[in-house]
Amino acid sequence: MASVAKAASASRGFRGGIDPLGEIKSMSAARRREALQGYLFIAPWVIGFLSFTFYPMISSFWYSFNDYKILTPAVWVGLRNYLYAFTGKPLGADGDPLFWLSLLRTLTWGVVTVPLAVFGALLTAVLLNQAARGTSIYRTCFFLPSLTPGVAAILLWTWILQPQIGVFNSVIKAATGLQGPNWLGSMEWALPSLAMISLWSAVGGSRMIIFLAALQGVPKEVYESAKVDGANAIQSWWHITVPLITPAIFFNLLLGIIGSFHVFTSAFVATGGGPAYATYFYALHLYNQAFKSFDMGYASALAWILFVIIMAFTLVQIKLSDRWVYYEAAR
Amino acid sequence: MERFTRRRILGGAALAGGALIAAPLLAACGSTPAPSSTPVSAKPTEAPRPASEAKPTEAPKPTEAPKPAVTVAPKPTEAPKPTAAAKPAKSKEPVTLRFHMRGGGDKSEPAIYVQRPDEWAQETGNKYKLEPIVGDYVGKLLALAAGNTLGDITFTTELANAHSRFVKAGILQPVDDFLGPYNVKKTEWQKGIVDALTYDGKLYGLPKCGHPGDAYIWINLKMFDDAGIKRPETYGNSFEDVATWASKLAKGPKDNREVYGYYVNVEGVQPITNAIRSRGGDIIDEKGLISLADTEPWFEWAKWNNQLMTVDKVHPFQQAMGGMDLAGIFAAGKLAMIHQQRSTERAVKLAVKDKFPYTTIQFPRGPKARGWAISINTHTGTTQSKHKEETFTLSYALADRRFAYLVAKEQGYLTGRVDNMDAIKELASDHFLQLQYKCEQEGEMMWRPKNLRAAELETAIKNHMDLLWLGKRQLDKAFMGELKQQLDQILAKPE
Repeated sequence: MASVAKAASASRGFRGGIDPLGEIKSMSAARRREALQGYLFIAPWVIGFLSFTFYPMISSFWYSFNDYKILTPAVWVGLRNYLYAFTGKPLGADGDPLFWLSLLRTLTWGVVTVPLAVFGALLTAVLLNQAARGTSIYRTCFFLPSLTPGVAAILLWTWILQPQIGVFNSVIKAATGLQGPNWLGSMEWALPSLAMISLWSAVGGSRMIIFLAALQGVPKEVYESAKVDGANAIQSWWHITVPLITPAIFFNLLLGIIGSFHVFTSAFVATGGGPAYATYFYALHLYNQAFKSFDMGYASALAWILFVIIMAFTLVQIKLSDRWVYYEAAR
Repeated sequence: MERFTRRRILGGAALAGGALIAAPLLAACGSTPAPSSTPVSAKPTEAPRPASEAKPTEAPKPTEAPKPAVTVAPKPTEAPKPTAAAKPAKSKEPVTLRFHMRGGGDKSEPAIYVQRPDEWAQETGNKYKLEPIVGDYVGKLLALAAGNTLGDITFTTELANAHSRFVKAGILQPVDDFLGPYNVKKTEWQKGIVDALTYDGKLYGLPKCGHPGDAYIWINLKMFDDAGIKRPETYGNSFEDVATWASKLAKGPKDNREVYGYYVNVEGVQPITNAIRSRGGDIIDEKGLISLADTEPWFEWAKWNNQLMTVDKVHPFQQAMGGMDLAGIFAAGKLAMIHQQRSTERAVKLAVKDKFPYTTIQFPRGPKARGWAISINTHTGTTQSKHKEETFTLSYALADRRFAYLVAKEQGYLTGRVDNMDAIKELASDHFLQLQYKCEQEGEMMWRPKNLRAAELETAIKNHMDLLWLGKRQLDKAFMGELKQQLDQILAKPE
């Protein structure tokens, strides 16, 4: 059968390669039916992917080279949208004055929240990995904030962070006699406030679960033999635990960085990007261009720029991971 | 007989499922004609020319560098005798109109979206089907229009120039052809409202309301009495009066107030517009091409706000309120005065109940004051509708005298009709409705940038002025010059 397929493939010029048409034709009727059924089963997903993911991606890429306002025909403008983005303040006077500002805010957000979220989740997982009474209850309590719908959580936090009578400032005043900051109403504290809200749910969420699984996957025998060799708790942690959970760290870091570029809901609900652009993130800027100014062409360009930035960060991380991520299966 | 195996059943189900999914997708992707109307070049009408001097405000004199047109508030006259609009005849073949409105409207505004349409349906024999749009109304409406699946009649708003955008895109139907046959006259509504809905000489839509935005201040009368301050008059108060009251009514140390004196409304472009227009200025010029941020009225506005917010510290920052609504903080006796728009009345009424006496007064109007910025909401027929006449009769039913009465009774606001006070019958004695009517008469169409980028202008104004309100920058020519530069850059963008 294989030699027949190969001969058929060679006759069509597929030298050494696979000729799918030939393969299908050379299949038995039963195998063809089986293959067809397989394709039918995945057809709903494929159709959905093509219709709702792939096609919109291609469309938005096309529109990024156009001036498009939804109800009027798209007008080809070439690279104008991209140039407009990159030539804004401080690099130029004629471009988008908020592009670099929003990108900087987002990068700041990433630098602040990702390490804290990853480290916080790891620490929480370590604590919850102890064989103590009530651990399952603690795990549930830590995980619950991540289940709270985003908008509801943010609204709740705007109450907690109310400067005059909110919980935070009331506790600060009771404990120290000092007036707490203006939190969401302060240029200095707005972004840290949103970061705090984000970490409240991020620390105990899916990252923690992943770390927990990774910690529980470390063989106990390794710890025992290290103990026999005289390693203390810190040495065991640093030379055994951390290397063995680097895949989980890498995964959480990767997804954390990708997620940090998408920060939107907290700023949209709590601050609107203010005060004075203190929380004006890239995704919020993109949203405003698309759904307030209806500049769909420019918004598409922003979306693709974001895609390239995220892809670049991801590739760099993957490349660097060879140096510090230990995969046991690769030994 | 061939066995009906599990594999065959599963295969058949997958085939059927794939066909079910593919069929509507293929149908949706089928070519449908684009909206047939040619997009209108929505050239708004010029600002109304002065008709006569108004009382009690004087006609404003032209200011230096007079970019905005000089306007005056029309003289409050008696409402003209209402003319009877022709009743819509029962349709020969009843139709069902698809009616787009904001999600939840049938629950929060049943008089508008249930009661009045039901009356119309009984009168005409037609039906309507509410199709609420939840979330981003304008975006979703545009998507429906782009997909050629728009309904017959839709709620629209001029916030962020949405209504203008729809007009320019050719998805809204002008009503001029139906005015004569149905004996409906444009003079039924306030001039500022009609001007705002007129593009290239045609009227697009009939108003659900055309209110003057943030033209009111709610005041806690008990606080005034306790502080020994004479209760203010409804009209004729000055900016100095309000600032003085705010300082006297605020309690506690400046950095930790127990009671705030006055809520300075800088949270939207409409209150900012009204505050600047009260000083004789405007946001942009008449043509919608350049900003006026470096003119004297802007400085006066910013200086007054700055005094209250950063020097006297009588204002609770919006962000500082942490989700507490203004009505709640007012009802709790933590805020003496609120500068807001009409919907606050209902919220205050529900929050305060009978805890203390309160009233509303008109926001101060300086000697050079211009008209209040009209905020338009409409119910307008769409060009994609196949039932233009029925749509017109429904949109008129949602703008006529009967509608005005129902809205005043249920919602507590007016609908912009010249004969509003007559139409609302026994409700005409209500103080706030009388105040609204006076302000509506003094209304003027809202500024409209030529490129319809009002939302971007609003973002720039709010974020730049935050630097002043938060004490990060000083108010000087350089500061306002930077804002002007930002706004001019936005105004220079293509549409």
